[in-house]
Amino acid sequence: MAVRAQFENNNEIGVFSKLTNSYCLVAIGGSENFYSVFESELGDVIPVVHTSIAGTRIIGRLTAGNKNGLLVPSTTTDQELQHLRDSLPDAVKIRRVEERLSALGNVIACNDYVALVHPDLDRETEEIIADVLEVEVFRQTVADNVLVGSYCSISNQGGLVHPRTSVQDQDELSSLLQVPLVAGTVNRGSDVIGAGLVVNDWAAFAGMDTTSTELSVVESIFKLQDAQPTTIVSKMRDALIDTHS
Amino acid sequence: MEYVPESRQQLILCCECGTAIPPNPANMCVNCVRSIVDITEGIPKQATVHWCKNCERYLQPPATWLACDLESRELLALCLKKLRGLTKVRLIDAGFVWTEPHSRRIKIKLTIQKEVFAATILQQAFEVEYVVASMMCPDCTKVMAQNMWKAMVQVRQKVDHQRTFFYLEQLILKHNAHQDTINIKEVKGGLDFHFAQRSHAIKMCDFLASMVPTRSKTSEQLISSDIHNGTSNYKFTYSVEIIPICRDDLVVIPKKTANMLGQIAPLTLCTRVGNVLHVIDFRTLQTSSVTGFAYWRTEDITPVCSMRDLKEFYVLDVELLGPRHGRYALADITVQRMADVGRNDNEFIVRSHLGNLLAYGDIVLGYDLDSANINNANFDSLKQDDVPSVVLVKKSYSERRRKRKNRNWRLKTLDKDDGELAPKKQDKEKLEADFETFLRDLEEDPELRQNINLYKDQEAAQRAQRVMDDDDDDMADSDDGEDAPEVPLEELLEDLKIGGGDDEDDEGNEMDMAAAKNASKFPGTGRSLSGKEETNDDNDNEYGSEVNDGGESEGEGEGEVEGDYDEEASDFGEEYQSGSEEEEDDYSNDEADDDEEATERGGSRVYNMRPSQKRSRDDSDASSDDEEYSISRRTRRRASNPPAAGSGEEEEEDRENGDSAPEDELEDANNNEDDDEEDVDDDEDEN
Repeated sequence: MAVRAQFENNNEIGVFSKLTNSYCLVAIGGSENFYSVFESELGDVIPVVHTSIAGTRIIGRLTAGNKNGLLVPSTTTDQELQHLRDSLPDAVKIRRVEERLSALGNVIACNDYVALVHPDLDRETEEIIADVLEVEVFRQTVADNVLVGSYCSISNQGGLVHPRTSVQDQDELSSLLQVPLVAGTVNRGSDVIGAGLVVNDWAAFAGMDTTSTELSVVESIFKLQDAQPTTIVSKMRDALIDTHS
Repeated sequence: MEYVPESRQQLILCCECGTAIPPNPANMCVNCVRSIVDITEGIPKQATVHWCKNCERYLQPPATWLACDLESRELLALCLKKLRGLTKVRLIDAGFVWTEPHSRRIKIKLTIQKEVFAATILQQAFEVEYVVASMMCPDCTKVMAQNMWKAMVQVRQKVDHQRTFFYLEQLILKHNAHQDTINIKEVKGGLDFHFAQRSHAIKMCDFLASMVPTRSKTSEQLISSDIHNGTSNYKFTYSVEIIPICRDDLVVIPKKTANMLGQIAPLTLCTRVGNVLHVIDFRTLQTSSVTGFAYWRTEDITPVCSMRDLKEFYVLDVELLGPRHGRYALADITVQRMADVGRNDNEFIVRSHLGNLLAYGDIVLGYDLDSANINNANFDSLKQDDVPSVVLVKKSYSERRRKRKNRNWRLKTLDKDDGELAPKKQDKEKLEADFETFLRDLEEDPELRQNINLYKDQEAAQRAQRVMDDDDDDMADSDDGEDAPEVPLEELLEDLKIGGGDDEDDEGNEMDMAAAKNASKFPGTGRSLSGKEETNDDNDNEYGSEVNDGGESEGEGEGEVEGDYDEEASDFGEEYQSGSEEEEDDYSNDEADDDEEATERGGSRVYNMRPSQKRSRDDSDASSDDEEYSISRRTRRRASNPPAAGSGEEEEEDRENGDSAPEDELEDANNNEDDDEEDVDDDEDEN
């Protein structure tokens, strides 16, 4: 399901939250309304962790992660790191990254298998990404923007990219990610996809301004219509029954 | 094989309606953007402009009045200034949408741009309608309420004729000195000029003083005063008295004064009145000039005989004595009273300055001092030996040679207000006689007429023709003397006639432009007093005929209309080479003052219209495109752009174009209608 949310009257919820298949981070200090949107969707499946990074609330832009791991910038305090280690599932590896481009969320876009990164990212950071997140790393741009994390949003099902991404670029990215991509907008025409939308395999949250057209694009490309945390299990069961019958 | 990169345009869905569109800064389709934001918000779609129907000027707030044509650049600027919200948007284009001239509506189509979302510029076109509300401008209000004057110049001359004022009137017209007057009133013994400002009156006084010897007196009347801020409101009256001596007057100068004027003889003739008085001693040809200052100091230089005392004498002999002075030559002339010719032999031998003007058999005008009844102390104190019996003044020309009908020129007149004093019948005759004398003086004296403007008389030619037909034989046998002096054609000016009148249907664009130029040059004067002016077109009085209203700015008279010129050429002389055959054909056959709106002439339609209220539609605008950029000013198709009816080529073209010919006709019909309606409107205005 794709739902709308707002963080303190701000529609850029991707700035204040981070969503993966195994955990969800939300910024502290938001209204209860914001948290309840997340908790009602995710609460009984994955942990929704309230945290700050380096004392700020823009956690979505500072962190990068998937179901395998979480990368936080070097400015993250020990206390925050400890809090995250306590709150996140044990399987999730957490790693502080010494990187000049410290807004990791802006320079890294990833799903559980592939990551697109800023072309100028350190080689060491690239290796860390590949180790911690267990992904293949590609240096790429989206619609000639180097901030790949800001201008696209991808899950294991599909991806939404900047509206100006040319068809060739879409094809190229799609072949790297092995998921279908579409160019589109969120928040009534905003092209900053990463900031307006957080998504995992069965849920998506978009800013309150997002129109129904945009939401339907999101739902179709991320295949969220009947997506439930249990869908995959039932699908596998169906397949098993099929094969064994 | 060469690699050809695919260039498919990527499409996104409009975030509002889901239409596939190429990405744009708003990521929204144009329709959705339009439906969400209205950039014309805050710009009024209706406004009012104020217009003075007297002077046809528009009010530009706060207090300026501008004369501008419909659909003109100036009017557009004025209208745009009316729109408040335009400062917040970017104006891309503005142009007039055609409306009926008398509908009192002006429509303007505007194209504006404004940034709506971040980096999204929206362009939108819309129309604004202006209601033309009429409101009288302060200038016109002053003219209408005739006692709104603030300063008055009373010009008086203590003589029993009007000739000085006729001359003065021409001077004023020539120098456009009446430009600032709000009213000119005829009173007994002179004229009153009313002004809205004191400085204008002072200017008028100075003008008069530079033209004739004058004495002026100022008086002021307190209208109101404000003791709190020390301001007060006055009315000023300037009384200007003109020296009471005219041309051809016999002047007596007391001995003492005469000594101061170069020991001139006490009895002299006034030869000219400029800004000084020129006198000549007719017995010695000594001349002298009397300044206004010298005159008013003693005020004892007095006229003893004037124009009315002139008698006719018959010249029997002229004996030149030798001395000459300018055009004068001293001579002993033997004359006989006209009344005595053939009855007795009373002859006078007169010493006179007219020696080279007179010959045997001429008739000369002079003062018969023997029989004159003169009441003048200065004259009485003269020694009787010094007083001649006859003083010859000027040559007289045969009465019948100078039929007024033959005069090929005319003068303009000021637009005067007669006031309460309607002239009695004998007064009128006197006035006409004075005017006739003035006109003769002009004919005889080139010096006099070099200061004023004479205009060609369009109707003179026809009149001359008629007279010729009537009394052909009469003319033939009356050749007893030399010709009466006439004003040479080179000295005459072409007159420009504009108005909702009868015979101005053949002027082209240039005339309209001239009219417009003049109108803008003199915004203060009324320019649409037309229609009043050709009331006395048909009577033969040169004075009254073709009277252009005097209040009109002078510039209107200065222009030149080709048509009139050609007509003159055919009538007045072989030395004129008419401009083109065709034109002459066009213009010589009418003059019958055709009142029709449009006359079919040489295959071209010619429309009659008021220059100030022209509204027109070009043919090309039949397919007028709304996206037309630039401020467009449409002009009516005129004779220069003949429609299909004329030549075969054009007909063919039209056939090729298929539908254009019917369109033309339709357009013509429309235009015709427009004109009709316009005229109706004009009538209403005048009423």
